[in-house]
Amino acid sequence: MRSSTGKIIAMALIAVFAFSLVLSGCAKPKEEVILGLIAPLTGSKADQGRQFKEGAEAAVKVINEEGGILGHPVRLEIIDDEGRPENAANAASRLAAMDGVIAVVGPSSTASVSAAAPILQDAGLILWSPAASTGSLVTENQLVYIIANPISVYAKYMPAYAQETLGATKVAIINVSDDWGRNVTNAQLEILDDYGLEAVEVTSYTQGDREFRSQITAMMAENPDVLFLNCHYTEGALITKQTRDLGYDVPILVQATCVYPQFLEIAGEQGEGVVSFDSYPPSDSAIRQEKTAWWKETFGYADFETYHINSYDIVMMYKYAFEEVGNFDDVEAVAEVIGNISGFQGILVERTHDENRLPASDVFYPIVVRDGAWVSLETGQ
Amino acid sequence: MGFSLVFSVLRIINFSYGSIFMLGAFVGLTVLGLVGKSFLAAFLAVVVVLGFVGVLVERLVVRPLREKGAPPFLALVSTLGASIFLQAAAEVIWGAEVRGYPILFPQQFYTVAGARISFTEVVTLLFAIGLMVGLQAYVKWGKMGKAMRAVAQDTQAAALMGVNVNQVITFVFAVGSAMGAAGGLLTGTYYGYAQPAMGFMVGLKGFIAAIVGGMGSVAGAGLGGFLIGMTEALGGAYISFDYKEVILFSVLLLVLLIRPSGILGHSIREKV
Amino acid sequence: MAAASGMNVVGALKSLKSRSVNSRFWPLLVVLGVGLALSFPLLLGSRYYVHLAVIWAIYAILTLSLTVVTGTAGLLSFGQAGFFGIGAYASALVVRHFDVNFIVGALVALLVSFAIGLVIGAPVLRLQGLYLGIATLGFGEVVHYIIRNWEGLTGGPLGLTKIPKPVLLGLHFDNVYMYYGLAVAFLLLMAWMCYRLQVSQFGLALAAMRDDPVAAELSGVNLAAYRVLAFAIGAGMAGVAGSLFAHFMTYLNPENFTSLQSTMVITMHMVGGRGNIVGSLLGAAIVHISPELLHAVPTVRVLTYGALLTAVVVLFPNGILGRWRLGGQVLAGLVLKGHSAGLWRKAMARRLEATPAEAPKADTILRVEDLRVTFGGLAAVDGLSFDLRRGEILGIIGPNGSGKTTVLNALTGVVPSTGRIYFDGNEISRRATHLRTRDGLSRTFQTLRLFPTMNVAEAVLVGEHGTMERPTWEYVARLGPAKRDEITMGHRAHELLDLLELTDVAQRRAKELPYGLQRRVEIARALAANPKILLLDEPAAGLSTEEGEELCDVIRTVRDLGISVILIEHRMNVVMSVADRIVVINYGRKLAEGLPAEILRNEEVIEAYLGRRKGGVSHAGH
Repeated sequence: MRSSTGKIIAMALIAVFAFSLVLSGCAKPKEEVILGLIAPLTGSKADQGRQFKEGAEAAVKVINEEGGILGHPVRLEIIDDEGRPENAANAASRLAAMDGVIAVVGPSSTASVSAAAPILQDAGLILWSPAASTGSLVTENQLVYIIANPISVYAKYMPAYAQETLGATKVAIINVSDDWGRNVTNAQLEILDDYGLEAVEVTSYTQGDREFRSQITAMMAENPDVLFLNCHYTEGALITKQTRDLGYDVPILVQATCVYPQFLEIAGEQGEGVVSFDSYPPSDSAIRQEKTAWWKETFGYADFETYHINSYDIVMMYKYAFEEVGNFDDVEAVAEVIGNISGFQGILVERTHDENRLPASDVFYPIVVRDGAWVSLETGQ
Repeated sequence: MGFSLVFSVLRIINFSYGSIFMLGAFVGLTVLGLVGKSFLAAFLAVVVVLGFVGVLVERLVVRPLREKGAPPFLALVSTLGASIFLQAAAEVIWGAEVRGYPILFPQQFYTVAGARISFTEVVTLLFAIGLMVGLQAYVKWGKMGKAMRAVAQDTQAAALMGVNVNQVITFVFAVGSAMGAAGGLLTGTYYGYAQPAMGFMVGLKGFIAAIVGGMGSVAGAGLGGFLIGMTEALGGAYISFDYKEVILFSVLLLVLLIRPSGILGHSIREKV
Repeated sequence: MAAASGMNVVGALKSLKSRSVNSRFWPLLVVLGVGLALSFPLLLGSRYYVHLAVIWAIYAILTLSLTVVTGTAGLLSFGQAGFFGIGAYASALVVRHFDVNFIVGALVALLVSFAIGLVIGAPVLRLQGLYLGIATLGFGEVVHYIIRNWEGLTGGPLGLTKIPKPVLLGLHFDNVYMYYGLAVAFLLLMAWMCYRLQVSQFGLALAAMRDDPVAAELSGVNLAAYRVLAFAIGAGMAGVAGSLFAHFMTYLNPENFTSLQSTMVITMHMVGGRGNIVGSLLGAAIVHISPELLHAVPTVRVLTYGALLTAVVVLFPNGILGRWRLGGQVLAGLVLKGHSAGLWRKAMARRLEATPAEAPKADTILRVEDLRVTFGGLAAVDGLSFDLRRGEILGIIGPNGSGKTTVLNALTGVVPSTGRIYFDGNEISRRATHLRTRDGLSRTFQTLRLFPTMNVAEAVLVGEHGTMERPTWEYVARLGPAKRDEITMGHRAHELLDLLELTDVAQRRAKELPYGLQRRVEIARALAANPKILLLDEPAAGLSTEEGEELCDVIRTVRDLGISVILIEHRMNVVMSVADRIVVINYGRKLAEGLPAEILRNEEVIEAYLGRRKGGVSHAGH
């Protein structure tokens, strides 16, 4: 009896396996080319993943309606990596082994990109992350690109604002202890001196923590003039709320990762006055409102956030690069075209790469929470 | 709390507890959206719905193992599977994103001994203490509570004495899950959000709290939870917040080495 | 595919099992079967599947590490991911910084994890069951956070990049196919090691420890040392898996080494079959590969995975291959092949002759002076003194609760006692339990303590643990002298089975035998340690009159071999018929001592047994 159940299991497994083979084998019409998308569709970064997916899908829809890339219809192959680097490597390997894949969008974090890059590099596929912002990823890997401003660029925003607008001298920094949080904090610490600032306290937390009161109290004991929150929006909102609940009215600056409706929901009234720096024109700007209306009209929903924009533009720039080169095979030529991109009209802003193949944009938009919404700091004042 | 209850009776680790906690926050959110800002309505709905889910977990993934005479720690793996399933289900139903909670209580503050305390804090704290005291009292004096303790001490003997063991265990899962879910609702209200991934660490820390406090002791679990919170806060403040988890787990190891049965647990000597 | 390859191995081995174990072809068949199964991913021709197969092989090694720790030794470890991480980072850092060969990295991973396993294991393994689980979980979390926060060394949350791919003997393992070969080679090596471990005396002792620590210790197993050793071996194996992982991924990140990962390792182990090597391979395939195959159903992928996992556990509580064991067959075969050439008797005779020179020539083999055992202020044994003469059967009797079993527990060191115990003229009052067994003090238990998962032959072999002539590792490595000794041990076990008429049931599970036979298995196990003194704790309890008489014959045979016997017994007819002398105890004190006939006439004894009423003592007790 035992052996028969064993056999059944074995057969079931083989069946599942064969089924997946068939699935991967049958969807291969001659003309189609595939864009791989590695995104955290489940797990704690799922909101990012959803934006990756929607943005890329929107771009592919537009491209296919206009006749595809070099005349080939494009299909997205979407793989969920749950935001885990190991799964990103598995996903990369899956795409590397698949016929017809021309390039990859994603994955999300620096860690996931680091895990996936060697495999895709071996397979001669370009990887372009809509979210990672570590410059060294690009400089150290020939076929890796990022679209977000590099950390070295946006790490300046907070110190500059603290010095120029707030006249602060002492800062306290709290960061999430993941790849991104550490990177931003280190970059800030390096340049604080240049802005006449001194870090009186630097402390970190683990993604998913909820209770920060003792940490805040310890931080405030050093009497900082301003708080830098290098956090994701949930914890950013909780820290803001708990700081205000404890009765501190120190100015709070948060990273663009906090520019989400959820930040406002969680922080509530206590979120008022928090300042951040968006790399795109904020939601109350004319251009953003115009584009949001267009997006809604074209794709049927009004959600038009940072990673929608990034993902959409990446796909569009891929199309541009492949069509410049004229084929799908000369990866190095394509990579070179991408590296030299200059003045490409993206959906919201122009895209230009510098000599290090990194995004060259140094434009940013200070925004503030006012009456429960993120609005431009200038227009609001 | 719920964790300790389930463990004390069944001597199994219930990994689904973290997911039930998270579901409590989401069900509460949904009910608040449907009926308006009534904390009590949300509480009742959460307790009923997740008590029922707890019963389902027991029926589907724990009882079959018990009936096959499998070792209790196997339930660890089956409830882990259930936990993965429940979290994935929450992602399918509510989406994987963070959802903000409506504000239920007036934004008032009191100053007690120099510390500012919000009205929400007072309410949630009182509610949590009330639940814990109620549970402790029930286990001590209630009819079902007595049956629970009987089953916990010696399942076979309890069965021989006419205790319906299956019924008791189902009840324990229902109550344990309801408590866990209420915890989720309170956390949602207190911190103002719900997220499918919010359960895992809670499950883990609840588990540790139960062990540190002494497995099988409800009061111990409360004490354990308190100690975990204090260790994290003080260890962070006086040593380093970067290493607060390292401090926490080192303290855990120390407690176990000094008192292998937890602070309020009693050791069981094996008879030769 | 990995799952399927696991199953192929099972199939191959199963068909082998039905044949004669002696078949000359079976090693060849195993090699063929395993080779075919493992080359299966290559035949699929997709790098993706080979990539998954590498991941599978790495996790299979990680699961095997738990097969040693939890499956064989019964120590619940939630910290395997910690050792996995230590191995991964150790190997990556060494190879990166010192530009050494991958093999050096793997060795460093092995040694560092093993050493940390020893250091952590020594204090933590005093805990048992779930408490041990929690302590190891804590350890795993500590490792995780240290990796994450020690940025200078580990790169922190950013991880370590550009870890070199292995180069061995001029071969570059820089593509998945080559790496798969490497990973499989390691996997086979580890599986073979695991197998050798399980079918050696060492593995048997670990299994005994898992089944019943007290009985194992009283069979001469050094519990504390073996626990730590098993834990550290598992840690070392996890470290090797980590090294393979590091050089395959070429990138490491702290999030790979969390308590969730440890839990998944436990799941792999449970799903496949606890303690089963092939099951570990299967478990790793199901747990780690099925989520990849489930990409076919993207939206409900994780949901399906959770349901699948739960279903497998509920349907196969023992794991898919849970009830199937390799070790028992091999070892029982070793016993049954052996011809009973009187080796045990010879060994016994040597042992009994080799009385230390300094021992008084007097015929006292065991002297007990002022023995006291207290439980929470209550004296269970209260100043007891008596002598056991060489080659006699000493009966110890007394009413219920008079402290008889406690005396045996004190003599064997299971409970702490004060007073002095001299054995062959040496004081042993402070000696560890397993050493007393090795000195020649064996016992049986009133409440039977047979190892539930073992057959009779294995139980007797465990009894022989203290008589091993070579260091334990030589048995695992199967070195010549150890191999010869193992065969001799098999012969001796066979002889004992013959002596106690257990040969016919040698392959049956001891726990499934009739009660009388179980008692005899206990005696056989105790005799297997080549004792000078045999301590019998109520051996006649629950036996029929006929079985009781057979027992008396056995006891006399033992005495005639020259072994001294202490017999604790409730049944008067048994004691009276075999005992040379009797000590009566009550409330932990000696009430009377003398020949059976004297005891029967002793007024105090009669009173203690029957209160004030006078009557036939022979009815007492039953």
